[in-house]
Amino acid sequence: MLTLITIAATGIIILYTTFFKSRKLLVPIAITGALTALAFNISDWNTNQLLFNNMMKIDNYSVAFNSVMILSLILILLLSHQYFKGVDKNVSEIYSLLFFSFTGACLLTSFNNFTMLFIGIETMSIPLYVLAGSKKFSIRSNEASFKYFIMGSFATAIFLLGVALVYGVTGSFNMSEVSEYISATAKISSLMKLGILFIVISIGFKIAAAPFHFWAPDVYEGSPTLVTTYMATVVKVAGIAALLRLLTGCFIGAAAEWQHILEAFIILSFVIGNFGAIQQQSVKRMLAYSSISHTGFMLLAIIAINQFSASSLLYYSLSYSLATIAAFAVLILVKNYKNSDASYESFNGLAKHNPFLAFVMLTAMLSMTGIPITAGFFAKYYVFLASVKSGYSWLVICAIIAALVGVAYYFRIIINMYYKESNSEKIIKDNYFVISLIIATAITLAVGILPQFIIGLI
Amino acid sequence: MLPEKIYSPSDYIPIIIQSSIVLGFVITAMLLTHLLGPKRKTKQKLLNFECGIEGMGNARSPFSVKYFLIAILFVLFDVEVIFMYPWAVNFRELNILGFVEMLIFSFVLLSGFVYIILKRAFVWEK
Amino acid sequence: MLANSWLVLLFPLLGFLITGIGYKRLSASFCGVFASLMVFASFLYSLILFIGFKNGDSVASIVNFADWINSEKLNISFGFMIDPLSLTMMMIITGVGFLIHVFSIGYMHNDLRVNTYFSQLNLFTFSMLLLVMSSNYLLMFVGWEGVGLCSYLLIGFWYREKAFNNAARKAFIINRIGDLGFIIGLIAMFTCFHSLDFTSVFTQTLKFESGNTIITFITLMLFLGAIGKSAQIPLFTWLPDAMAGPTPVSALIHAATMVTAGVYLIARSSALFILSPVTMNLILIVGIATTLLAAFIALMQNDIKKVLAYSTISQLGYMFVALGLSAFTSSVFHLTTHAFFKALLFLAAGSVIHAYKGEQDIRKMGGIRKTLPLTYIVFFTGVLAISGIPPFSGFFSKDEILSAAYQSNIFIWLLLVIGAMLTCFYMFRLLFLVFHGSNRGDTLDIPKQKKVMTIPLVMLAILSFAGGFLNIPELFGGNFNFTNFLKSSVYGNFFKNEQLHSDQTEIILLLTVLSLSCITIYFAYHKYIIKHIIPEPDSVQRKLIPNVIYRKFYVDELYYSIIIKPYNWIADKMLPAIEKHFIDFVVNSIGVVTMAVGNRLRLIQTGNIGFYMFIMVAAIITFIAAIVWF
Repeated sequence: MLTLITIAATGIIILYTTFFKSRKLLVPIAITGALTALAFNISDWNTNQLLFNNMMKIDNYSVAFNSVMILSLILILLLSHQYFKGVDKNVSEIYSLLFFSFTGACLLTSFNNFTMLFIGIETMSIPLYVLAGSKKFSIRSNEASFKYFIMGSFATAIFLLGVALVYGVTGSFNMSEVSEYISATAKISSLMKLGILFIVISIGFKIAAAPFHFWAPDVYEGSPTLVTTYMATVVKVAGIAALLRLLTGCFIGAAAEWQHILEAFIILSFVIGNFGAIQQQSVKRMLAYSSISHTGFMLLAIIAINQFSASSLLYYSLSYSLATIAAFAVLILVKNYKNSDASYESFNGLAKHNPFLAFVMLTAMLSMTGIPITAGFFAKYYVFLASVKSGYSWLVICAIIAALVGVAYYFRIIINMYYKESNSEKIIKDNYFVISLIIATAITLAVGILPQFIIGLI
Repeated sequence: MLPEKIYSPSDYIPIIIQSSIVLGFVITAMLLTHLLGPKRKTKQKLLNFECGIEGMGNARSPFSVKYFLIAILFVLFDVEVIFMYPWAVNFRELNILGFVEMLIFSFVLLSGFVYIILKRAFVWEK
Repeated sequence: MLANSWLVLLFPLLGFLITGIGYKRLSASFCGVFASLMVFASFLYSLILFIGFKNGDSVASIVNFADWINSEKLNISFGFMIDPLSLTMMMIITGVGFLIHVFSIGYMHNDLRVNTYFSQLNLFTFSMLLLVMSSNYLLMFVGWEGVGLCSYLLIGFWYREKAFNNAARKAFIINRIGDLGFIIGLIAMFTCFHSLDFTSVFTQTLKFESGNTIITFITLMLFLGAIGKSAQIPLFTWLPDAMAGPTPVSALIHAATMVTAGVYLIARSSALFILSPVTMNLILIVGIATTLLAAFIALMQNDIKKVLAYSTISQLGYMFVALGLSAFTSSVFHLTTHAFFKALLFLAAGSVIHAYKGEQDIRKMGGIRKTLPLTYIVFFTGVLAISGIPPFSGFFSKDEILSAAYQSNIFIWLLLVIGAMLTCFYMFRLLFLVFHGSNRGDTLDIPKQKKVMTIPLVMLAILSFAGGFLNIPELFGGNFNFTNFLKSSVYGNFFKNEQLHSDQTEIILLLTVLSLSCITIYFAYHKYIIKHIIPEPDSVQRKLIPNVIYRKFYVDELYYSIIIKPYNWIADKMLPAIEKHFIDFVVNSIGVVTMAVGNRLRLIQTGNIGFYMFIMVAAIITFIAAIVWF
């Protein structure tokens, strides 16, 4: 609970820094808040507690996923100092919106009640609609915000309909009660099936699983890159963690129903994510599509629904978040330096004058592809292991093909960085930025060598 | 707590009946007034404005965002105050804890209000 | 104390990281001293562990540092096995390694990339320690590959020279063959034992009887790995070429430590190997053949380092013979003494080469004993040690192997004695040609020898002299200290001469070998000192047999014509047929199809929000329909 309070309070404090005209304090305050939250969060380890009349449940699962998300948040905050250098209006509001949105993300990992799930989703999403449009005078940013808002509210409506149906059948919002109800009844009523379908679909929308991914490429591309980073990491991890919590904690008795839905999600995500990414000219858009494909991989862990699901999902989330942050961070620098559209060509010859950036990007790309010794290898390995255990070998084969297609577009960047010539110069980056990149890369490599530190946690 | 009864779609018939009655009442009432009410159509009456001045320009001209801002802020705080009703009803049972919680809630709400004022959202002309 | 044994690994790793990352900023002198100190710290900790063992404070134990891989069936820990065998190896690696590091400070001081050199040397030390300390085969394999990498990097250290790069590649590629065997062995082992932990595997071997097929297969594959790393027939051709690296590297990697990894592997796996007589016989045959072949080649070599390289191969052959006779402790004992005297010989040779400004041809040297008296003395010590002259260390270790051979079969003993005589001859030939006679070199310029270079030489000379006293046989009133110490680590027979033949036989054998060696040494003396014969230049036409030996039995040429040439021929023919028309076609088609699909699929992302909503609703309806349908 202290985690949540810290995050929310930090948001409010930051809101007021706008009156003190001290931009230098902004990032330190935000990071202090995030670190405090991390400390509180870790202190909750092994203390299973039920809060607010069973509305929330803090367990190791939520602590672990919160930690991953807070780590991502800290890394993003470190990037933000340089990113917002040129912006002089309403910067502190952007930070506080990030924190408010993060409050919702934290709820999503620890809810024990559909009401809380709903509040979490909305608290996370509404600030995001604003954040997507935070580049006020960019048409693309406005378009992203509008599209995200319209489609997001559509998904919310679907979600509410699903919850209403489930409530109608069971008469409860409480997860354990719903779960008991499902296990007690022999036949699952069609209303229940519809309810589950609607809820899964709406969360699928939030995590950009095909065929509900349509917002993702446009919104990811239009939003300010830092917000995109946040969306692609924290929001996705929160959504996927919520989905697994919901499906294990509540709908496990109806596994046969939603597993078919997830099968469709996974296959479509692989197809659309990979084939969409392969033809892109813009790296940002490619990363958007690749994140759809990664959703497919993460759903593999969920569809398996066995004792490996949670730990493999946690590991995947961590490796995916770190690689994504590193990739977007380098993209920000390259894009700002070249003042370009972030095409593949702007990465040409990066290795020559910016070997550090090229190395960071290389690690990120290798991790996303799943090459050892980066974290991405074991991430995919454990996810595959989990789903093979549950008899989804055919999905794993599809996943391996998808991963192979992924090589094509991830390695394209590496080729451009290392084998193409260009007259680029050294890109200037501030210390915060470098720290963030070092942390992301170091953890990617460390966890890739010693996966045991993460995989044994939950 | 398991529900005593397993609900099926047919159990929702009362709801359908009620919503159809509500909708039906509105529609009937509107239709009835339309049909029963007296109608005197003159050219003057069918004009946009009856105050003697001819309509000019477009009615959908943009006006200051301040209107919306104030309206939406009003709605915001208005809706938040709704939380006070259930609290007020259960004031005695919730005791001092409930009071403190409401203080915190009000404080958060107030900090938002102060922020708005400091942001000069209510200042009409800058 | 044991629980912190990871500290041994930490120091060289730190050295590698700090000198490696700061190679641009740190000064060369700092890097050298720092790297040496790190290895010394590692040595001190190994010594502490060793003393703890000696005093009986600790017993052989597994130290689990962390979990490494944990999946359902495959559980690999990041653990260390600290027992007499690994302790011996650790002492050799860090002790001899430290001396060579120190020597390198003086030897490499003029080099531009000296910081890189030290970081790679420290990385090597780390990998080698990992290899000998690990408690399971997979972690050992990590170290195994690590030393292979460092060997590759350091052979090609002067990478501007194309020949050196080729030598590095040759070493790497030939080692891959062995590594492949190692991996296959590990996979087979895992399928058989469901574990790669030493303790688990060795306990399970008790269930198998001798001659079991799967165990034979596993041991054969592991032996293939050992052949590659330890340069035995048929994979020995890389080691002479590996002399392209800096001389201290040759001393550390290609004489004292890395090449003995194969011996260590087999000694460590003794529980497996004694179950397979087939493999043991093969080891024995390969060992004998390598000993003799390398010794013959060494007779005619004119490059000071190549002679030492062939002698290394030959001595490794001795160790393999001992392994094949299940005299594992004797093998490790010879490994230890060999580490001392071969490192010494290489470093001394390095001093000579240093003095000759890089000249390595012994035909262009001579008479240098007057200008380099200290080097002469230590080199002489090394030569006496390797020739097995009592009481130098080589005498004791070689004698053990010879006795073991005699117990097994007099014919093997005879072959080994021939090998020993050849060793005496080529080593004294080297000594006489380099240090005696008149100076034939023209660029002789003797700088004052530095302390950093002389002190390690003296230390190693002392070790080469006294190393044999570790394991004095009962014949001379000793009590086999070293063997008794190692006993708990290995399985199989231990060298106990009193069982099969009496002291009398033992003495007769010793005297026979000694007198034969002395006769050989006299031959060398007669030829090179009295008659002043200098080896002929390359251009001279030799008679058939000397020519075959001089051309190293045409092994490289043989490999070229039976492997590389057919391989190239197949590759040439296959390129158009299979590569272009089949593989390229398939690969390119996949690419083209993928791109085309991508192009089509991209178009559904129209950017029109109404269309998106339409698709979403359609998808929802499809899902509902599917639910209703099923």
